[in-house]
Amino acid sequence: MRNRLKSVILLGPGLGWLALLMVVPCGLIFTYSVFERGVYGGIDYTFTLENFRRAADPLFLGIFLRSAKIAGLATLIAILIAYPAAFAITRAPRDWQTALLILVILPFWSNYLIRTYAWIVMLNREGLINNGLAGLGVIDEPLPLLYNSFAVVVGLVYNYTPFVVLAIYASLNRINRETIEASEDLGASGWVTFWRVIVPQTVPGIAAGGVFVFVLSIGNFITPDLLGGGRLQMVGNLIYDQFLSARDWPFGATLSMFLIALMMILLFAQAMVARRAAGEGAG
Amino acid sequence: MTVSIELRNITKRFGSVTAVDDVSLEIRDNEIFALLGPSGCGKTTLLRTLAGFEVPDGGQVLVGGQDVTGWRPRKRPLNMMFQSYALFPHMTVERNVAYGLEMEKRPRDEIRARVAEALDSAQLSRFASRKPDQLSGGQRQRVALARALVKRPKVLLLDEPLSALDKKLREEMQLELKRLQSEVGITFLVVTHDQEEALVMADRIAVLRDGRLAQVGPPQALYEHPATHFVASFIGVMNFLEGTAVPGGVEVPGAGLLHGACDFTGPASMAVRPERVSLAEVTPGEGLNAVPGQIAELAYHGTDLSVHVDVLDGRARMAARVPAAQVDAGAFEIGRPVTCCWAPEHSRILQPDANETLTGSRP
Amino acid sequence: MQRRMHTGLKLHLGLFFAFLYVPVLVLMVLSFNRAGLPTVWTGFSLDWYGKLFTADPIIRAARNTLVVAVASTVLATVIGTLLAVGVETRRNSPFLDAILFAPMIIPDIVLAIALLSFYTAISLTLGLHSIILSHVVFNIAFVVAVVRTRMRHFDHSMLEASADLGASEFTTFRRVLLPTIAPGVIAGALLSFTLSVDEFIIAFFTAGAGQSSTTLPMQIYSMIRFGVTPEINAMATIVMLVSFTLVLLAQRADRRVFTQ
Repeated sequence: MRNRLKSVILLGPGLGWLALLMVVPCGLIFTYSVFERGVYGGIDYTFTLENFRRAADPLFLGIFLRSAKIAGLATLIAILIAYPAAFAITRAPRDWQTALLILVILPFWSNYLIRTYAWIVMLNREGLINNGLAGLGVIDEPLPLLYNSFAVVVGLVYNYTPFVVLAIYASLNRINRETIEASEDLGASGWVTFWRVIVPQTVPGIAAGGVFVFVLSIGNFITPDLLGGGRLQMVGNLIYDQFLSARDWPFGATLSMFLIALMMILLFAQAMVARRAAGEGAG
Repeated sequence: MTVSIELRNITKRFGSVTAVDDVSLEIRDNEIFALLGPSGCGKTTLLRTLAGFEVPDGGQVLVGGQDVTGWRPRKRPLNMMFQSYALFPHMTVERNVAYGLEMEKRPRDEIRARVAEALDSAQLSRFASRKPDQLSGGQRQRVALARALVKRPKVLLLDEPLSALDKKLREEMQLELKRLQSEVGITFLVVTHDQEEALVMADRIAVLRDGRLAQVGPPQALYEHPATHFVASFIGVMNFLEGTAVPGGVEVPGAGLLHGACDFTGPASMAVRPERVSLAEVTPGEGLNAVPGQIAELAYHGTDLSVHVDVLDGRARMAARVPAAQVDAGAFEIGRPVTCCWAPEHSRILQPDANETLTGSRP
Repeated sequence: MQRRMHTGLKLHLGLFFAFLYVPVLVLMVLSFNRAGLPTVWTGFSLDWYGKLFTADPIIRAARNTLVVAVASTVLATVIGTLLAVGVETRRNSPFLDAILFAPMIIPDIVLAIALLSFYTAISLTLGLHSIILSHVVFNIAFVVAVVRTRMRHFDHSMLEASADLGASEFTTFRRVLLPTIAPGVIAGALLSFTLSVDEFIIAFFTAGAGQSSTTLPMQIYSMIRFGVTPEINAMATIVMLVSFTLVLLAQRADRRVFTQ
């Protein structure tokens, strides 16, 4: 009885808040997905599966696939940049490591809009990169760096790589140093040790970082909106449009459901990887 | 007997700390050699220098007569069993054991056969496809051993091989390792901080202190004839009485001349093992050293009883070990006067160490 | 070979930091540029900062942001700390973990439309209060995460020791638990504040129509849509420096906060 009261006091407000303002709203979206769009943009509570049929339409499926491709590319590049960076940090002197990690994570906690805007400044026709290349005489005409999928990938990689560095650093740090020495003692070169002993033990970190980048990229709205220009639509922008321009809430809700389903599948997969690794790492 | 490993004047510094200070050692073929010392004495650094994980600042490492000082670990004909065992957590037992042979680029069939054989002789065949986390501590230790031995090294280095096991299993494994060593017939070099483990397992022991060799010899020699105060106190339990060495013994204030063989004069410690001390109610006859006192504490060990006696008016304490079978009911009780006696041939007279020791177990 | 690889790694790390910081530094430098041309240096000037502090919409947006951030931080810190303590002192539940992790990983756009739909469904008038309610959702998750990390390094037998010495549950909470987890609570609060100050999409969806509840990120967004201007550079510089300061303070408060 006492314990129950304690639980209610401690957990009640927080879980209540999350239930009311996260679980219920998300549930609401789920129900919207099976209703028709109202004449003036609201909800017409008539049951329909039309929204799901529309979402599977090649037009929207194409947008989904393009988003997945861009998010996948950003994820891959982020991992490729983050792995050696994290590895380098683990090799730095102990008292430097914290400082380096803070330096990695600092931009991650600043305003996302501004970080994205910084790339408009860098990539535009008179931006630092185009001006620099022109000044060096490498190019005559400014390169079209902005308002395309290249810029979107750059923006996503820029914004999310720090997290991947952190995730991989954490799993590198968990490796028993003696396993690396044991590999060398048993005759393996540095390269073989890296691929056969170090990388396999960091799979959970790679998975955690990768899933994070992919999920946040595929549902991203700001980066494609600001760096992709109006031409490049991704799922995030599509959902935005359904709610604020097209005023087709049921369809927007359906698209969100797809996004959440995808996210849950990926998180589940990542949890499985982490669990397997945790089991193996014991002792 | 041929020399398997030779260390010549090895010195290793970390910053301003000298971890190993001019150590020279010869380890023979087919012996179990223990590097023994308290933590921080440099024994692990010495082992890692041998394995190639540390490059010495001075000196040479020779294995089978060949200078391997600058060689990478993977080139050296010796393998190591790590303190944590360092099993690869993402590989099965079988893959772990096969790893070293794969690095030698052995033919597939040979690898399979040798791994199977190694697993079989380590009684691990049933666990071949398990991952390390699904094994008990003892099983993991056997995998680590099999993984190193399957490469047929000239020397096996063992870094605190039994420290992760509980006491009972540890005692079993000490004998198990000895048996294994005589089977495979290669040199075992064991690093340990546990003097009992070293005494049980090793053919010869090197005691290290502050990066220097304190004494090298067979277990019995170290126990019975410790060369320094430090070795005497680090190995086993020792009674010490401080005094001044004179021809024929040590003059201990309050106890007179205590006899023993002595070849120097000046400040000295009279040392005697508790099991050499007998307790008498009256002062015994000529020929025995005798120090009277009062029983202060009793500690029962099952096999025997430790009797702690305050001597020299409480300025020192001596312990005597009485076999439990010889203890009469009520013979010893706290506060009773008693005399500690021992024969002069069991006296060990030692000079104080250059820098006074803090370690070691005194009664 | 080892050594050469090491140099390569160092170089990579250096380039990575350049990639992270050059764009930000370029913005900061250009904010002191005299010319209206945003990317060509024409001389030092503080004009753009001056303009910023006299523009009414910006002052109002900054004030709104402050109100939202303070309110949502206070609420989330209290609620989140209780929640973290509650979760860590009971049996591990994957379901609870998932609920607490969800706000951090749900795409902002999804949470934004879900909340907008919900507020519309219950006919809640939108304004600063609805932004605050929404920000508390993800802020709770971050406070919980930071405090839980702190709790994990806390010896739970201390709670039993306190009870054994005669303290009531409340006294134990106040005099034993809270002082030990305080650094985590402070760090969590600072991070919440930072998140709230910087959050755009959810605020954008739940602020309602009209200018009265525009926050700073919303203001920045509309300015960026309008084009690249030196004012944005100046504002970006200020906002970045505020974030950096808050994050460094959070790290000072609880050293484990980013390396959990």
